[in-house]
Amino acid sequence: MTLANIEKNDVDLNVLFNYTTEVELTLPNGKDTIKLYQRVIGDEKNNQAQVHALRASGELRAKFKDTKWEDRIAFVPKLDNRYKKEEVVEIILALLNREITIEAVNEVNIPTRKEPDEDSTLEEREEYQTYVDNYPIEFNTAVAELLKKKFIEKRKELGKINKDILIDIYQKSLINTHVQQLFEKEYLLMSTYFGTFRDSKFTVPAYKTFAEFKSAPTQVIDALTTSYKSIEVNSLELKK
Amino acid sequence: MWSSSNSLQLPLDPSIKSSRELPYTISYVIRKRLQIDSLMELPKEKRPPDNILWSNGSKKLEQWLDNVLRPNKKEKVNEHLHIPIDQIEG
Repeated sequence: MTLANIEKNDVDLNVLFNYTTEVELTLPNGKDTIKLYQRVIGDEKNNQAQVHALRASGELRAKFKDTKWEDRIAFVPKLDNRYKKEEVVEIILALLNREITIEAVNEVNIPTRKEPDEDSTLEEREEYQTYVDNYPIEFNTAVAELLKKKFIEKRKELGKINKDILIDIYQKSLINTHVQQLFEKEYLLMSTYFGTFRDSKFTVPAYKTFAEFKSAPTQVIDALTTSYKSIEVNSLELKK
Repeated sequence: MWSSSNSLQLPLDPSIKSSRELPYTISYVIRKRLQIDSLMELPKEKRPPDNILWSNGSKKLEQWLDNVLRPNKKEKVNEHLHIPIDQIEG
């Protein structure tokens, strides 16, 4: 059983229906403010945002394949001979952290207790509730233990590989990290662009084009994306 | 909640006037609910375990359903229809 469904007693459906918000931005003159309205985008726009992000991450990946790309060195710094093999292993482990954590969360499978029947006693229901309440702790402990085990195994596995191949793994892992980050960034930007309006009825988009939105001052983009993120329920929460 | 809303023909959220306006997060939950409801119609032993039901992507679930709904699929592919020669007309 996953964390997602054991915590069903704690599910707050309001979170799902709080899909709108307002953002007040200060204009460049420092005095006036403007209010914008945001709502979580629908399926159609969500697909478009994903396609946009996939194209952007695909373009970046293609650039990385060109070993002569001038910016490559900035994204993937070369590991010189000062780094010992053990240090390269640790760098790779740090880069694989996200991947290994996701793996561990998906693999943890704690057997569930049967939910008490309708005719169960109050005591039985209390015991079950205690079990449900303690589940997140049990789940997190199991994830932490599995993570520890996975890192030990991975460290051992990488330790058997020669340094040249490790450098290659380092480069690939770092490229994957950059591409993943770009995908997430572009997805959030496009979703925020689609989901931001000038009016409370969500009929007039705040920006005419995505290019216009992207050329807004960084602090404006940051404020809008942070605000949009606050109303978008993440995938783990959605599974509750 | 979705089932009740559906049975009573009451809108889930009256402020949403068309399906295009429905936040994708809500559509995901509705689709998942419908999927779970339909899988719950399977006999208990054929229902997918939670880790498959909630895994990312549909591959694992498809494989599970393939295995439980068509357990003899592989043999069936190799099955031949044998008709004794004396039973063929003409």
